[in-house]
Amino acid sequence: MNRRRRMEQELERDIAEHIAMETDDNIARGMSPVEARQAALRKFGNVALVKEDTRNVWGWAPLDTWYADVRQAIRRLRRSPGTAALAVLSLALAFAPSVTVFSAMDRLFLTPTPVKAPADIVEILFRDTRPNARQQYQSVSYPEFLEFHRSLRSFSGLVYGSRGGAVVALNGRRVLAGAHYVSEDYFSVMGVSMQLGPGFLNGRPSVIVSHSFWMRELAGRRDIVGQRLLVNGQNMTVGGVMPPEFLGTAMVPIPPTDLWMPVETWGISSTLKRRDWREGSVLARLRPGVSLSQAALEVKAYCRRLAQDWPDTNRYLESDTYAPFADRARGGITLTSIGVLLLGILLAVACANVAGILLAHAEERRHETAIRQALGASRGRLMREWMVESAVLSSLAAAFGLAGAGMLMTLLPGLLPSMAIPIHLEFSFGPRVWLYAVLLIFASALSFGLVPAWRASRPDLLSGLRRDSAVNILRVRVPIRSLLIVMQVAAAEVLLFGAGLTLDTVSTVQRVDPGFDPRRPVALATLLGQATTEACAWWIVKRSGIA
Amino acid sequence: MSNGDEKERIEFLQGTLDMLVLRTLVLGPAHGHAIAHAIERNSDDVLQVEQGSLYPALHRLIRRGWIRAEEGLSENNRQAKFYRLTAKGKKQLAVENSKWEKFAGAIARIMRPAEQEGDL
Repeated sequence: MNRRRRMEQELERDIAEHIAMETDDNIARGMSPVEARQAALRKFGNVALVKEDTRNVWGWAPLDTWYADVRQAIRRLRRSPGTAALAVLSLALAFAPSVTVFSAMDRLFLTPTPVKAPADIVEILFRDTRPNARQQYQSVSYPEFLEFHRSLRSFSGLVYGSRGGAVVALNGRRVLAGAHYVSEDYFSVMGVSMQLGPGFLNGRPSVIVSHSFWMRELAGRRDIVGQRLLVNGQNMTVGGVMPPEFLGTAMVPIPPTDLWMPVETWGISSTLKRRDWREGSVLARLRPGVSLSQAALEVKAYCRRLAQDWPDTNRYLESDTYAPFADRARGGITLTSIGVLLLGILLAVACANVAGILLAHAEERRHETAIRQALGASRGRLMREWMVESAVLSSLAAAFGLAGAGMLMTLLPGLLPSMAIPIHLEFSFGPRVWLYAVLLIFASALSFGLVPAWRASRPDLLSGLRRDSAVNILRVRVPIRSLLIVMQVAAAEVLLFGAGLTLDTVSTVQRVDPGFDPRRPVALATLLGQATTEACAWWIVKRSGIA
Repeated sequence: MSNGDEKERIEFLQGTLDMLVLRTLVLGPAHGHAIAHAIERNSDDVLQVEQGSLYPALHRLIRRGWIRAEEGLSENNRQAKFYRLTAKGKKQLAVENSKWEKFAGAIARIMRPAEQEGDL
């Protein structure tokens, strides 16, 4: 655009200069200055036209035609506001949930972990070698972790972590939180730094809170660091707040981790000391220069020794090592792709709907189109106009859809059914979400605009010019539009079945009998000793009405 | 320079202005005003350039790479664009020249018998 302005200025100057020279010549020939200038202007011709012709040579004219197309499209949509509103509404209804869901998926699955050099992190677990093992993969017990920590040379750091629920008392309110009981050097081995605060306080019972928990339950107060928090009935000092990108180190960050507490200060319970209580995971950082396969060999050899030393618990267990973050990134992409595909079906339903509306609209405009064709408008030009109109429609829909998505994001967390494991939805607004929105606009404009554009621009002058071409309308319209409807119904069916099955699963899970009476809070005492698996803990606390 | 002799004026044929501009620039770089004058003078004022139409033509020739524009000072010391023929433009002039000769010859062959008839 700058270049264009410069060329424009230069042309202006050249023309002025030309006229000035001609005026000088005329004066030299004996004319009065006024006469001379008028003669020069006459000889030069129409200045505006000259500029226009020169601009056309520069080749910027197409830009202006695009602009004109957009304006015309808006004018035409305004002329049939009902059709336009219907189209925009159906698209916006598909856009809003699509963007919302994608935004949540982006936050959960695509946000890169702030863990330093995540490729060097290795998870160690056991595999049961018996062919009919009840559980093929087994975690590592705390005593085994301690032995790994002492003996393995391939790693510069090893940390233990066990997930569980925790009840946090806040001003008379009790809040359920996802807790991760980890080794004290967990954050330094992971290479993640606090957003706020020093981290775990050596030797003192301390807790690190997630950014989401901090914002949600602690009102984002900066002075929270150093204060006491009553967690599971114990006073814990808040040691820090994690940055928002850190969602923990679980394979899938659902349920979210809200609190990290050092397993050492929490108290090594008698359960934790059991060699067969395998409810933790071990993450290790490869020493520089050691490859994953070298480390795997060392771990394997060590575990064979364990199997001899502890036949009761380890006889059939063989070690397995893998890099969880690489898997996590791949898994995240897979999950997101599935989600995007499902959202695509939703979008397809909306697009088929809009395509139907536009086809009907095209029939109404046959007369106009035929006249324009008779006047020499090419098919390409007409199709372009239709496509521009589609793009305008889908951009409008995107604007409404984004606004709707914003509303959904604030409303949705409150609309979720009360579940045993509360999921606190979070959304991201990063570049990937915007890219997705832009792709939605183009994909939808193309998919609902192309067929009507092709149809509408078909050279069919004779019938088009006649006002009463009802017969033609029927002949043209039926096959394509019924095809669209079939597609729409089929896609809607798929979505409905999917949604129904999901709801059914959720309600079944809610009804699962945990094997004891959850209404009596008696069980709580054992829970707070962190002796049961997370699901039970959450479930009981929730059902007993304490929370 | 108001030329009352309107009948003597000849409209430009499509594309001939480009050729004339190229021909004029063979003598050396010149600014727009000088080019217009050269064409008029060298045609003994038969060809009256509507001077403005020169500019789209000049920009078209630049776009095709046949001439190049450079900044310079006019005879009365004013900043102006000077147009210079490029090597590609010289070749093009030769092409245009032979095309023109063929065209003019063909027209002349058709027109000559008519003149003779008229003379009879």
